[in-house]
Amino acid sequence: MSELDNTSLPEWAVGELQRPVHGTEAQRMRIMELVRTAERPRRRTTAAFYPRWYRRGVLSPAGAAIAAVLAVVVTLGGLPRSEGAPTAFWSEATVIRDTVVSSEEPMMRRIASSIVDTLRIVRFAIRAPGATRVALSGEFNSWSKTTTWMKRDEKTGMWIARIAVPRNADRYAFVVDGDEMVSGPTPHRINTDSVSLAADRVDSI
Amino acid sequence: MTLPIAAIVADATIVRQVLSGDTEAFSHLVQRYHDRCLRLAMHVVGNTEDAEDAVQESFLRAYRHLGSYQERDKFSAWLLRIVVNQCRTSASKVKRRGVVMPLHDDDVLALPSASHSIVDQNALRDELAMAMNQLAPEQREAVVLRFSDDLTFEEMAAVTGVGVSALKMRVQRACRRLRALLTEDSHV
Repeated sequence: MSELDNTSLPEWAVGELQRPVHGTEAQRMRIMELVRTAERPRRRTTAAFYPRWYRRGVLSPAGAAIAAVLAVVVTLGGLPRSEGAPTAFWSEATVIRDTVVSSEEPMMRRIASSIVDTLRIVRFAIRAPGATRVALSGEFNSWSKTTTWMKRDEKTGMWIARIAVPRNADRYAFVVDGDEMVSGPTPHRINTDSVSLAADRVDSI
Repeated sequence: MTLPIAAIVADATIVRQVLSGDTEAFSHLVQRYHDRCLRLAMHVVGNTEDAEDAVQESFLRAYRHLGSYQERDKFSAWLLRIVVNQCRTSASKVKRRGVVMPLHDDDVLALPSASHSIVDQNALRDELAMAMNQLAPEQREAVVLRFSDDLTFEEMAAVTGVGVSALKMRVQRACRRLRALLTEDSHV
């Protein structure tokens, strides 16, 4: 038997239950007589602690506009960050060498600079205060969260890794204490425009 | 400012008017909801006299505690909740007295139906009242809110403070029991 059948009554019984009832004017007047002699109601003092929109259950036009702006900002990936003010989880991934061929000899340097290597060296860095372990997950390791671990630099507190990454695998994410961190709805991408700039800093890494 | 009698004013506006000191504005709420509350109370309590007392006391309680009404809630649901609570108290008193009275009364004006004569309708009414009286109080309350007031289960939950699943079960069991009771008298 369906639920509808289980929760139905004979038509005449439903009609009887829904039959309009009209109280008398005398009854309503009696209620108002009692109301007039009753103590006047007071607003609950605690209600004042709630904002007006909460008490009334509606937003003012200004409140609705603010809510809409916040919703758009959150949807688009968060508030814009001011430059020079690193957030708690500041991070970067920079190509520091466009080839994995490394040699001090001038001949080998020329050879390395003349070929286009399928691999390049990328420096990943993240500031993750309080983290106990940080791993890299990306296209270069089939998004494994446990194979590419980062090392903590005791001086700077940064977690750093330098690895060889295929040219066509530039999407990645940090895995901090087992929780994957991505930038908004899409993973990070390696900054390929910074190769020349970063090359000057290779020695300091 | 006094509210015009004929104006269609939101409940929340009237409540604010009363809370600001205009006691007479409360009469608009009485006028608006008295019949609905009375019908609910009559079916839940089971007799006219106790239902009238329950409704009267409910409006008085609503007035006294009007300050605790929050405008984000529907006023009708808030008021019905008070009526339901008052009916529970009245129903327990009636049960102790062991009095069952027919629902029709000269003080309450009922609209006649075209399909039955007044005598037949009174008989049906009494029969339904007797059957309803055999339900458990919580089942009776649920079936009245569901059919008499035509509330959704979510609205019923707001009025009674009972979960939707429990209310569905109550209505289901009440309907099964009522159908059985009414079938015995060959009206189905």
